[in-house]
Amino acid sequence: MSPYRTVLPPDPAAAAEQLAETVTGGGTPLVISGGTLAVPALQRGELTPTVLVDLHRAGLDTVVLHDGYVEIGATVTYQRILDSPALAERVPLLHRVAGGITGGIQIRNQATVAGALCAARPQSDAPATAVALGARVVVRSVRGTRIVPVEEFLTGAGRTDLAADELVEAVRIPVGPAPRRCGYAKLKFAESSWPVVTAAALATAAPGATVVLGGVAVTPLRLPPTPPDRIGDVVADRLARLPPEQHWSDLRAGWAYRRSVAPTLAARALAAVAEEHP
Amino acid sequence: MTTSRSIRLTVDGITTDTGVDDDETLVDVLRDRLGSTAVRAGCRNGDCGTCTAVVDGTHLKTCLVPAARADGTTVGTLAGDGSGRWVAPLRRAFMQEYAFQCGFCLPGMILSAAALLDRDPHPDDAAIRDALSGNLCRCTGYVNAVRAVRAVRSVGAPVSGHD
Repeated sequence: MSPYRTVLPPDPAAAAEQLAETVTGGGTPLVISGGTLAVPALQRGELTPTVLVDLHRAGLDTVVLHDGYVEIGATVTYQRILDSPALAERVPLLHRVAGGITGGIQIRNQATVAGALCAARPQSDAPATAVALGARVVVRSVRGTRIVPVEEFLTGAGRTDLAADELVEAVRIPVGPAPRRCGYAKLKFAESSWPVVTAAALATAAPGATVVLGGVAVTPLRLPPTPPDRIGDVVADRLARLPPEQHWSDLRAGWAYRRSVAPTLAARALAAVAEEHP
Repeated sequence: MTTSRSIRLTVDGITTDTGVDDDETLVDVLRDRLGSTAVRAGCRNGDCGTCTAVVDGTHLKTCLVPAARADGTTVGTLAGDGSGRWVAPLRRAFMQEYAFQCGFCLPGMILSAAALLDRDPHPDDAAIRDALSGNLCRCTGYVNAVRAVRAVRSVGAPVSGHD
């Protein structure tokens, strides 16, 4: 017998109502979009909800270009991102990251950006990329909808500021009149491995680019706009000042190794920006 | 023993209603309830790829698909003819190039290669390696698998076959 009951709401409002009902009744809901991280964890008993709210049929699988931002629904897969001409043209960084997601075609067909942000794994591609892009997270509950900057949404390793009765409906990414030049670098030890350290770079008006590091701290680490010749010192200085409780390490690599490779990854991402011609 | 719900699946052309528990995943429904062993249970973590099947036209790792979500879907496995026109030539090429040893990884290897060829009938080697990257083979080291896909790429789309 299943320890939880699965619900497939027809729309986000019904999903929010289900969450409210479950929480009010003293139950523990779990929301999934693609489910590539949550389903194995459920199978192993690491997650123990009483109600599984599967957004698969909630009508959140669209990419819509609005004035000033693009809204990516919670169940939009990485493959949908790759297949979207609008995203390829307007948000090339996200397009590039989507093409390099670990796990092959099958994972790209199921995994989502919204799900990756909710999982909030420090070593995953999506969090640092979303921070670099200035993404905002659309959070819904029966109490209303709030728009949360992703840097506030991600509160720690595997932690977000979602309340038990809230779900992520979409991720909004600001788009300007012209796409910004970008670069992405990541270190991993095998094609099938999670990333160890990632660096997402976006060109700024000032010389250089903004770099956001993933897999170094428990949440993405944003560096100030930096010209390429100073990036090594800027990364080293920033990491030297990082409080120990924010150091990230996992079975792939310890903190000292991540710290030692981070300047190189940041420099590669910046170099990729410089090589792009607008 | 009661189950959580009844779902309807069409697997390799055969439609069946079956009871499932909500904590089951599609790989277990296919194997244990429907006897379809052309999906295999390996890592159960989305890493190894040998549970791959084509669900409503999309190549997925079925260990990651909750059973309830799969209700009403059409599933093609490596054993069936419903998995696209590339599967038969890929099967032959994998044999000709000796692109397997124990064969455990073949559902994922062949179906993800088919997914690539559906999208791009003339992929370069980097695209082939990328397409196969979601499948773990512990025998051959992947080189022969890349060679097999390359062989099918060179021949091009079969003129007849199942779609």
